[in-house]
Amino acid sequence: MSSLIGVRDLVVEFSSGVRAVRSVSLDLAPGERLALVGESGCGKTTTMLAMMGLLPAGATVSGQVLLDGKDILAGGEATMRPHRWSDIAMVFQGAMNALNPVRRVGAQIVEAVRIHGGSRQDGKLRAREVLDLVGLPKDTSSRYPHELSGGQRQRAVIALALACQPRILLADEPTTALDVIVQDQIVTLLRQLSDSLGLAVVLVTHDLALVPHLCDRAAVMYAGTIVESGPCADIVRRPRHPYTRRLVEATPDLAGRRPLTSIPGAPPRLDLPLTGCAFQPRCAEALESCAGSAPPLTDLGGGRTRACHLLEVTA
Amino acid sequence: MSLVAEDVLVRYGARRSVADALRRRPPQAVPAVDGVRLSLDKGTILALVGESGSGKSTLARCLVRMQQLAGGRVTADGVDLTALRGGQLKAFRRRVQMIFQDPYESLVPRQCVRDIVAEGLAIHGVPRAERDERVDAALAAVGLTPVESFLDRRPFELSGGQRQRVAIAGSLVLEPDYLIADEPVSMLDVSVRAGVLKLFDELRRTRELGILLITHDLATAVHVADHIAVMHRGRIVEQGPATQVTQSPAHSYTRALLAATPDLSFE
Repeated sequence: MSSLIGVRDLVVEFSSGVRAVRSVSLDLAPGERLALVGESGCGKTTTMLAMMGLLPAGATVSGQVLLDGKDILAGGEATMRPHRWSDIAMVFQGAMNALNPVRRVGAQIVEAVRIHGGSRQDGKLRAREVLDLVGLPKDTSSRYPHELSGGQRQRAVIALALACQPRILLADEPTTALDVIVQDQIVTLLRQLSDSLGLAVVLVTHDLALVPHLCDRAAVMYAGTIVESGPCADIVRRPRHPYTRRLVEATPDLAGRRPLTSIPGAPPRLDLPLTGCAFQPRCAEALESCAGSAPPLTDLGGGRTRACHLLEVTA
Repeated sequence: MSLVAEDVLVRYGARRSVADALRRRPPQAVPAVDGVRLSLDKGTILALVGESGSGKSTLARCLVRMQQLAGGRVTADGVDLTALRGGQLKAFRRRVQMIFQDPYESLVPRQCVRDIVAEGLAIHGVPRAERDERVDAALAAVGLTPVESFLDRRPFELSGGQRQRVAIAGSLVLEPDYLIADEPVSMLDVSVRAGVLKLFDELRRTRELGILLITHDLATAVHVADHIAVMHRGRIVEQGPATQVTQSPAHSYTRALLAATPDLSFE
């Protein structure tokens, strides 16, 4: 598989001592759609921000972000900047706050194009194109964010991300504040854009139920590491890591036949060093040895990986 | 015993343009709730489902007398809410409690858990000596144990799920008959949602609480509710036993909602 963007052994530590990402590696092929799933505070957003070079000053980052095989993380802002928005763009969490409230939508798109070397005229042309791409009426360009509904605002944020024709779109919880009907429309839009523009998409979400509707592959994160990955349908039907299993059991299904269960306990504190498997204190199946060493992410075949000491239960 | 909405009508005034105001055109009224009949019985969970703007929250406000009606009436055990005065109104406010969507905003950040939960008791004149005991019992009931470790914490020291439990404890401490919960789990992680929903189920059984659960997620509704009412543009378009509504929806809007609901049991 030729990798468009790859993350290698990414570690992010904030100045507060919180180690939010503890060795994450992932690969994305052109046009591929990957879901990054996990509870709040497991490092999903931090991983995305690191890929964009947008972490706050004072955060220590190590590892590599490879774009077309070239490390763009090592050179800091100088190597990251030519690619930000032009190659990798992001749809930030909370469409309500991602737009500038005192500037018209069109002007914000023009601004993005001009910062990346286009002329004002290019910007206006591009604004018309991207608003059309995301299914917003032409006059949206002259509207202020407060004049748009939640769903329209989310579309405008996506249009803004598409301004410089990126190849990779990082979508951070793009539907969390929206109701199901609008959520469905946004997911459909992202799928269509990915298909028609050959856009690679990373969907960050805490909602496992959303994942099979958009993505090809899913990676489940826990306490700053990936604990399981594989094809979406596979992961949801036959989760092989106890944490993923508990997540599936906690997700309500429409049939309503399964009893819902919550996951006892809370994720570990990330400002303290972790010994052993991070999920072990909450894991019903944990053995004594699980507290001893952290399980490595191992290849299970069929495109699936898992980080768990337990023997596989073959049902 | 039940909380009943009879043909409830609420209109919101739409904004008039300056030109219309000069021409003395009356402001257009938008019906937010348009003739709704709904009955919430004790010991049951009724889910009110619909998209944003369908009137769910406005209807909830009517049920707790936080909203002026343009028509119809709301009764609690047969008594019209608008007839309640003074002590009766205060008693009603104790019996019907409301929980809001965002536990990050609904708790006073400067108060500790003990004071947040005890506030209602103070308002309703429960003697100081009795308060501590009731606060402890309420926190234990919502699963915040050991209670002592939570009493002196402030909201920022709690997770989202714990905060929502504190909000629920604050309403339970008054031993209400009805709980109106407006999107109580939509801000929470999936891993803790099930816990809060289970708590609702338990409260219904052990305390005979009547719960109105407002949500836009049919999958959540079918897991805990006895009945589901589907709201669209201010009207209730379908109402019935939870599994019947999700498995054989009668209204086209319910079918559209079902189709939009992401589901793990996909083919």
